[in-house]
Amino acid sequence: MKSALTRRPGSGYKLADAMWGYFFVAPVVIGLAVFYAFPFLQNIYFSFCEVDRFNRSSFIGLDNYREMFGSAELYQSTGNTFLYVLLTVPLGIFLAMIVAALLNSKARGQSAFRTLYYLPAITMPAAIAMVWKWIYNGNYGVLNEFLKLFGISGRNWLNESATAMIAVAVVGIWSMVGYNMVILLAGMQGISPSYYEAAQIDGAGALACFFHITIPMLSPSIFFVLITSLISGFQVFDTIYMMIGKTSLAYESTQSLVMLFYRNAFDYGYKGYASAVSIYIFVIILLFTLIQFVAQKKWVHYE
Amino acid sequence: MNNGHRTSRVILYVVLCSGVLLTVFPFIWMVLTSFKLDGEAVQVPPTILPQHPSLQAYQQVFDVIPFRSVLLNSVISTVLIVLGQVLFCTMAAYGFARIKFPGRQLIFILVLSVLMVPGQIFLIPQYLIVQKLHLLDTMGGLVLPSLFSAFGTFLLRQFFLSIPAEMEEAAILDGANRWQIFTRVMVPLVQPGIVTLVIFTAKYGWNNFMWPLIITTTPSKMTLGPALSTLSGVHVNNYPAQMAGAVLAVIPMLILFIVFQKQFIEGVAHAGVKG
Amino acid sequence: MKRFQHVNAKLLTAALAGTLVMTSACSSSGQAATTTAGTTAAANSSDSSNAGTSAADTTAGNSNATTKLSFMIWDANQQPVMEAMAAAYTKENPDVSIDIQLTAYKGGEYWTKLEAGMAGGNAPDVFWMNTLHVENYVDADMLAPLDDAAKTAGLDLAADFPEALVSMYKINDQMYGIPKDFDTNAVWYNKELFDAKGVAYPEAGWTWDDMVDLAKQLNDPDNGVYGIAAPLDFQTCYYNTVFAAGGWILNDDKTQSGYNDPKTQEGIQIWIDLINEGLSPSLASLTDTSADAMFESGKLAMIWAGSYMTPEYLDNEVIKDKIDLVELPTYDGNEANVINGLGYSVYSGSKNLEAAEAFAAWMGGAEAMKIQGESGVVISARNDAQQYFAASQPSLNLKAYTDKAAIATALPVSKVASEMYDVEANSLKLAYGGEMSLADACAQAAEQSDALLAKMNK
Repeated sequence: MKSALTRRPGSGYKLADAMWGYFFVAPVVIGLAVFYAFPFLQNIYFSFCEVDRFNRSSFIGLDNYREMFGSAELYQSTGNTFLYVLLTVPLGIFLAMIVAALLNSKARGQSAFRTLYYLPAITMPAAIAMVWKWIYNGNYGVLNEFLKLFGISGRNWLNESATAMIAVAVVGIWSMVGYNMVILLAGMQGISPSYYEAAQIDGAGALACFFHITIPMLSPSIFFVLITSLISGFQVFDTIYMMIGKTSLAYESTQSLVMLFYRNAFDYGYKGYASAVSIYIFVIILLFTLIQFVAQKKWVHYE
Repeated sequence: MNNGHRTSRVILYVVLCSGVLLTVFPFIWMVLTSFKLDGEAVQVPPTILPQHPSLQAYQQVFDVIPFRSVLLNSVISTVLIVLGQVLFCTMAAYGFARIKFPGRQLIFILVLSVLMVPGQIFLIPQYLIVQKLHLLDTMGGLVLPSLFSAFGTFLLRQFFLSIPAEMEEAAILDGANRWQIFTRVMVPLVQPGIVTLVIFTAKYGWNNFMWPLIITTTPSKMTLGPALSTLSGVHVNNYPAQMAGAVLAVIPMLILFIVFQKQFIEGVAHAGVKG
Repeated sequence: MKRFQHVNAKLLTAALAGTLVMTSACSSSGQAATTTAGTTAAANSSDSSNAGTSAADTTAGNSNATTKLSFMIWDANQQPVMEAMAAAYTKENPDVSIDIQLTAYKGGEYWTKLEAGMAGGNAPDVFWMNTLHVENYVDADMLAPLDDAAKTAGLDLAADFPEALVSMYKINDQMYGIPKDFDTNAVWYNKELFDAKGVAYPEAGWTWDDMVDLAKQLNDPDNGVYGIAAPLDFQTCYYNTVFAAGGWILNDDKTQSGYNDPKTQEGIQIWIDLINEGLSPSLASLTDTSADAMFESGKLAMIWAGSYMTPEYLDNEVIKDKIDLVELPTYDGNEANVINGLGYSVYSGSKNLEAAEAFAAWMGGAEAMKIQGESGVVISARNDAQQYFAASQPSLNLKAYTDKAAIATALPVSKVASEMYDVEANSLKLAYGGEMSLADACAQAAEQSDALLAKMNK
């Protein structure tokens, strides 16, 4: 083994190394193939079928796709989802960066702050929805009470198309900051202090250090946070589903793509149609991810 | 200079503290609600502090849920999922980040694509696979699909990619094979990443809901998530009981996070020695 | 540094070994654990006459029973009484043991689990069924017809149960669910708010106009108190008045919706008028703060509510001693009430089909229905057991619910009911919110619903 890897350079060396590569990735790849890729392929097939609640399918060709692309609901939900991503992802990463940078600057009580900022990530979604609904409540909400202090009259935040999406996006940002912060902070802690020491000797200030050392060195972590935030933004479901009731006048203007998928698959039992919606969601996310993977070459610094 | 330094410190803490207030408010609300009586929880306008602090909600949780067995099942399944993911994802991440092999990019994108479809589509097919393996209603079936994670692989791949190549090359010159390089050189260097994965995976395994719900049928094998959901009725919610359940469920995660973040800093300190 | 690396290598190897060993150990010992847990629980509950005091205690029956039935339910509040009924059954039938599984209804969890089991061919033997799902399940051949088992158990479906309930589970002339319980609607009122204004409580025989008059006297928006609430709730609120006004929602052969009928619209418009006159909070306000929450906080004088809300209101420390109820007011001289109910169904693929059918039928018998009724949680479906619900709270006029089963109309359902309810809510909320006239909203609902029905009947 030892000699194959190091002592005999040439084609044999590469082959051995490639075998090592397959060895390392095999467990995850095989596991994902069995439990995820296979169901996914079946899902593609189902998108061309009528499938009932009990997984019984009959082939109907492109009917699901025809119906899907013919429904105004799809375009409305797509627009809503894009808006949500636009509102939450940039700000959610930006704020997480700030908090992580502040916590990385050896603030006293750093570990306490970190735990507190992580709390939203481990708070039960039902509790999160319940509290935010109270905050936004048009009659008794804290937010309206607060605005009243400044003589601004409140609104029914979750019941008006103009405000509901913003209200939901605030909760989305709120939930993702702590999560992203943990990843970014882990990345920051991995940056060797020697870089900063060298920069300080050169007379660089804190901001210069942040932009010229932290951001480039952290870019693999930022890239990870960006991709996963985009994916979870495009798949937003829980918070909207729990906060916006069916009788809200803002229901249509906040319904996300995954809500559309979920309603068809689980409320109505149209699993074939829902499969087509899930393929549509997949293609959108795949496109954005591929764009990011191409674009990363310009800004992500790998060692 | 010194004065300016102090001002910026003060600003730093003001910013951090106000952020914390915003962030922890729902959590505090959850705890306060768990001490309210059922009627008070839905009262308008809402009360902040419980008017008649009561442990009734906790009593209800223990009445409805066989808490000890549920807790034990959750701990076992979470530990298994964390161990499995840490091992498999670290390996795969290293392979994808550091070893060149034909099809690497493509396989990696395929791995990632698992994250791109709504997770609910996997539910029924996975159920049917686990049924074929005769693992319904077993711990094996409960943890098996969760041992493999695209998210974890991607996370650690990014950490491996940020490690300088010289570290590895030195080890190759010393005559170490890939496995030795992996375990002795690379894994210690990505420790912050592994700790992050442990924290996220533990949370995922702990809160896992739909999967344990459909594959366990014997009450004594149920885990915390599905058990807690039985506290909600059809027409009405018993909020205090649900929140009490959530508080009980969150405590182990909180302890884990506090313990591990100490580990996390020490790990970084150790890794720093290398430089 | 060196030592640290070493530890990590060990950790990883240990993780690998640990995962494999524990996974395999758990899956093999899992099998053993099932049987042990099952028998211990069974022994426990056959010992105690009052089964179900502890939640772990979910198996009823003899530990050496030859036939094991699984029975899935969704309401934790009813688990103790279901256990008591199962225990009574296994006492009479020592060769059977019954394993109760509780899965929550909220979020569709119950149905997802049931449907996954059916897709794989191993669902619970007996389970609760509701009218929203029964047609789809029958259509997919997932339910066993229960007519023969009912006859063997001595049930006379036509005579023993309200007609509306039986009709819900009778599909293609076969019975697919033994009626379990039902719910009807009534008006609850807060006596304290009535007393404060010196207004007399409503009495049976009152009319819609009486209700509006009372609401006007009780209304006090400055103090956040409303006389009545008009939430966008079909089953509890506007279907009742639609039927009283002579309107309809779905025709008998389920081919057309009735939203365009002026009488249907009349039954809905009177609710919108309550909002427009300021007697009820706005739709937006009721979406933020439910009518139930308002009533339970003493901010609402009267509320229309289904019988299933009874335990909730009576558990509430704030209002439980200040409330009573009265039957729905008549509209246009007519009384109407919407009835809906659950049934016990049997999985057609059950490995113990005969035993499962026998148990389901027994659950509709006088003995079982008496145990259920005396719990006071729900109204037992059997005519001779309905009295127990009212008797469980003698100080309250719960007869306002039970008395109406005979005159009630079944909740309109079809295979596309979930979608129709959504279509209806999406349109009507525009009328309730004042963004569209009711006639236009109904036209929109009718067009979309009729398209759904056409697709269903194709």
